[in-house]
Parts: sequence; C-alpha cells; structure tokens
Amino acid sequence: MSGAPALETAALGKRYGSHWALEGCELSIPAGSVTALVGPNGAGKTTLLQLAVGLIEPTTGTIAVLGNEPRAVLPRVGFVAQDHPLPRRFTIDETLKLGRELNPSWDAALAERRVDELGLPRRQKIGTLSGGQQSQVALTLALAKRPELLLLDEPVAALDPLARREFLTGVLQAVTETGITVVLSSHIVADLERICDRLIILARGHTQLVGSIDDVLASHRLLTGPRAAADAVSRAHAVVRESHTERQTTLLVRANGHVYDARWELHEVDLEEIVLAYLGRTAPVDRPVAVAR
Amino acid sequence: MIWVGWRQQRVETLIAAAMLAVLAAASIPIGLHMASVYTHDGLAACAGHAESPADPCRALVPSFLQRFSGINMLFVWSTLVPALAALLFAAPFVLDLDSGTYRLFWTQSITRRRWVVTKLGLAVGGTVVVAACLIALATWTRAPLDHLNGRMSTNAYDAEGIVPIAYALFVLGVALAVGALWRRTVPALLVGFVVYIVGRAFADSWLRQRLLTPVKTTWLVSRPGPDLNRALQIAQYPSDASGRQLASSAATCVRSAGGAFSHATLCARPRPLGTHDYVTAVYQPASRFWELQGLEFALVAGLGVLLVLFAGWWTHRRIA
Repeated sequence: MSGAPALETAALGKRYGSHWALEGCELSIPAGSVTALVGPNGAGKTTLLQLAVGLIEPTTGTIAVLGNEPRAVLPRVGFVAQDHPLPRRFTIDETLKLGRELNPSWDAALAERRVDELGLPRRQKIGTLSGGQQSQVALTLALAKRPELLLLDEPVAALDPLARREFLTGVLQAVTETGITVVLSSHIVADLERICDRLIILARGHTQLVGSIDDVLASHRLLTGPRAAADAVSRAHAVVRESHTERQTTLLVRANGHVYDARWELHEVDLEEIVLAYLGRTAPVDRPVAVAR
Repeated sequence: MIWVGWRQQRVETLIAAAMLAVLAAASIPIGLHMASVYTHDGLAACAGHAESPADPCRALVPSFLQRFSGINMLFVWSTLVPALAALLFAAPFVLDLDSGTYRLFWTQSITRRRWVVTKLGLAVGGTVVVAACLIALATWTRAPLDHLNGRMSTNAYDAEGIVPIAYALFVLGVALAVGALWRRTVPALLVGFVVYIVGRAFADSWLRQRLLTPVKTTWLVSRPGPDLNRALQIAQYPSDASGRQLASSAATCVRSAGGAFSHATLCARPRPLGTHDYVTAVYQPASRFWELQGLEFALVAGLGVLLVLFAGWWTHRRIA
C-alpha cells in the first residue's frame, strides 16, 4: 500500500439534470480506517460511492481511489452496491465461480470458508435465498477479491436486526484480519458506532462533518443557559443546532476549545444526537467542517 | 467472462435448441417422405417443363405440390424461430441492466468494454447459429419443392439463403437497443417482436420487389414465354406488342408476389387469348435469388449490426 489516502476528493460534484446530487465534496479518507458515511436518503452517499468505483463520472472536480483513477484500481477495490445485486439464477457455487472468473486476485479458499462458516446452502440459487443470506454472498464476493478498500453502499438497510448484526460482524472480522480500509454508508447510526472509527456526514449533496468519531464525540457539547448569552457562544464556537424556550436556550456546539462561560451548563452528547443535529440543519451553515485531531 | 456470459444465457440457449428440435422433428419425417415420393414418381425430370398436354408432368407436378403444400405453412411459421431465439438471446443483456446486476459485473476486475463485448458477442453468436440451423433445415426439407418451384416465393425465400440470419440480427439489434435505452426487459422484447413483424411484412410485400428494377418481358401467347414459375411475379397482363396493358379488365390478371406453380394462360379468362395477342409480365427472375438475398441481407443485417453496436456503445458510455 502506498501512502496515498484510500479515497480523496477535490471539489467533487455530480449533477443529474439540474439537480446536484453531490457538490463541492472535499474529503480524504486515510488508509486503514473504517469510515461511516452517514446521511438521509438522497444525501449523495450512493453518488459518492458510485463515483469511487467508476460507475459514474464526476461532473466537476476529481476523485482518487488508492491514489489512482477509480476504474484503474477496480481489481483492488471491493464494492457491494445498494440492494446487493446478484444474478438470481446462479447458485452460490456459481456465484463464487463468477468471482474467480472475473477477478485475478480471487481467494477461493477464503470465499469457500466464509460461505461454509455462515452455513450458506452452496447449491441453492441466489433468488431463493433470504435478504440476509444474499447480502452475505455479496460481501463474500467483495472480500474474496482481496481488496485494499471495501466500499459498502447501505449494506444493511434492508436487513432485519439479526442479519444486520451478522453482516457487520463479517465486516469487522475482515477489518481485524486484514486491516482493510472500509467505507460504509448508512442511515442507521447505532450500527456504525460499533465498527467505525471515522465519520462523514452528508446532507443535501454537501459534506457537513468529517472526522474521527472520538474527536467528534469529544468536541461536541450540549449547552443550556440564558438566551442572551447565545451570541457570545456562537462567536467562539460553531453552533450546530439551537432551540429556545421561554426560560432557556439549548445549543449543540462544536466547541472550539473549552467553553468557559459559567452561565452555561455543559452536557455530553451521543453520536446519534450529533448526527441528527447535523442532518436537521436546513442549510450548511458554514463551510464543510473537518474536526481537527 | 465467457463462462459467466454463457451461464447467463444457458436457459435461453436450451429453449432455442428445443424450438429447433421441435421444428426438426416436424420437418425431417415430411422431408424424407417427400424426397422419396419425388424420386419414386420421377418428378425430377419435370422441373421447368410441363407444356404439352400429353406430358405426364402436367398432372404429376400439381398433385405433388398440392400434396405437400402443408410444408409451405410449416416453414412460413418456422421463420419465427430465429426471431424468437434472437429475443431470448437479447434478454440476458437487458436483464442485467434492468435488475442492476451490471453494477456487480462492472465493479469486478474486468473492464466494462470486455463485459459489453462478451455479452453482445454471445448473443450475436447464438442468434446466427439458430438462424443458420433453420436455413439448413429448410433448405434440405424443401429441396424437391424448390426444384420444381424455385426459391423466389416468400415461403422459400424467407427461410433459405441468408436473409433469415439478417432478420434474426435485426430483431436482436432492436431488442438490445431498446433495452439499452429503456432498461426494461419485457417492453424491450415486445418492441423487438412488433418491429420484426412490421419489418418482415414490409420487406415481403414492398421492399423485395423494388430492390432491383424488375424485368419486364412481352411475348406472343403462341410462343413460349419466360419461366415465370420460378420467378417472383409482380404483375402479368395481356398487352400490345410494346408491353402496354390492354384496357379489357376481364383479361387482366395481376398476380401478387409469390405465385405458386401456374401458367400465364391460366390467368387469362374468359376468352382464351388468340395467337396474335401479347402478354407482358413484370417479375424478378429466379436467377436473381442470390443477388436479391445479398442486397436484402446487407440492408437488414447491416441495420441489425448497427443497432447491436449502438446498444453496446450506449451501455458502455452512458449507463451508470
């Protein structure tokens, strides 16, 4: 692996007709990280991942994957598209053969071991499998390619909680065994906290927040205090969300250092609340933010 | 990729093979029987002459043709086999676009171009093979009929030579192109089928007669005329010596394309034409079979191949 980031974009944008699915996207995902790409439906998550595997071409800007043009590094990238499309008439064994035929770096032993460990019926047709089983086959196909970067587009959205857990366990296993870089898009935050160490929040085609989850948790605070003091806070810190009642004001801020003002009461916030606060913003208040380490 | 492409159209290939098998099972016994009658009755000697009333062929040939007329119907319908096979072979390509599995294939280690070329190549290959099988079957089975009647009637012309391959490629091209644009399997195949039926009707009834300027021959009724039995007749009418049609409508006999075994004199009624009357025929002579087939093939197959290439180009460049 070179020192290049696993994924790096500059002024990346994709327009469909007059609608910008992704705009001005600037981000860099370091090799070896497990990154959650969070945002509501239509936020641009799928667009970003499809750009990363060369399924679509950017309208503006550039995207580099493992330091290269996306299509040039496809053999080194594993991808599971939304709804994990697989040929329904193939059996699992045939699907594995498909992987071998189409990928020079195919690890047949790994593929077979995974399928057997999961107890998947190898002679059964894909079309007859459950959604969870299909997603496992799709993940197996992506992992047996021995990729350096694994891109998963909403892999667990359609799965029941048990299948979701099993799928993410599979991803986690691959991460611990091979140190693979993973980018995983989802709108279910709870799942991501368990396996991800970095977070990208996308909404309305723009990146809202980029950073490591630890830093994000450390830097965000919920403040409650008098409304009159809100202006002072917003001068020093980035206010993500504010709400007012008659008696007090509540601010969710990305703190720029400590909040010294004694009029404010400080609370910690969990990741889900932070994500929701960013997604609830009507417009990107300031430039896409990167949380400093 | 070849194994994957083949696996994806395996069911379609089996269905196409089954259709050919049914056709072979229906036509081979008839063909064998017809060939033995043909030899036994000495019909081989009858081809191209049945003029004198004493000639036994005058009775033999029509009764033979009457007896085996069913085979014409069989092969008219059998030209649907390559067209349906072409639609079947178009299906796996469109299905990948329709169901989204193309996103799986395009994110493996192979290039998009290789995927497109392999899939389309297999579809074209399968289509051509099925059409060639139909041609072989039709040509072998129909041999006695063709020997007597020539191959210019639509019954023979559409199932023999090389045009069946052209029409199969044309259907394939339409279905693939519509599928690439629309990315819906069933509508694409339906459009392909409808366009095929319309295209065939257009070619049979209009285009073929005009691909080459027809021959126009005028002759005295008392003299032997040209061999029209094996030609594609477009019109035939009593005329003056210069070939201008006579006004008498009762004597007019306009024959549609693809007339079976008959004679100019059979058409003129009620007054038998006198020895000083002329008859004019407009037709494509039998000798033009390959010339016409070649032209029609170039036109139709060319269009089909262009449509296949368009489907490939569009998919390669546009879809995501």
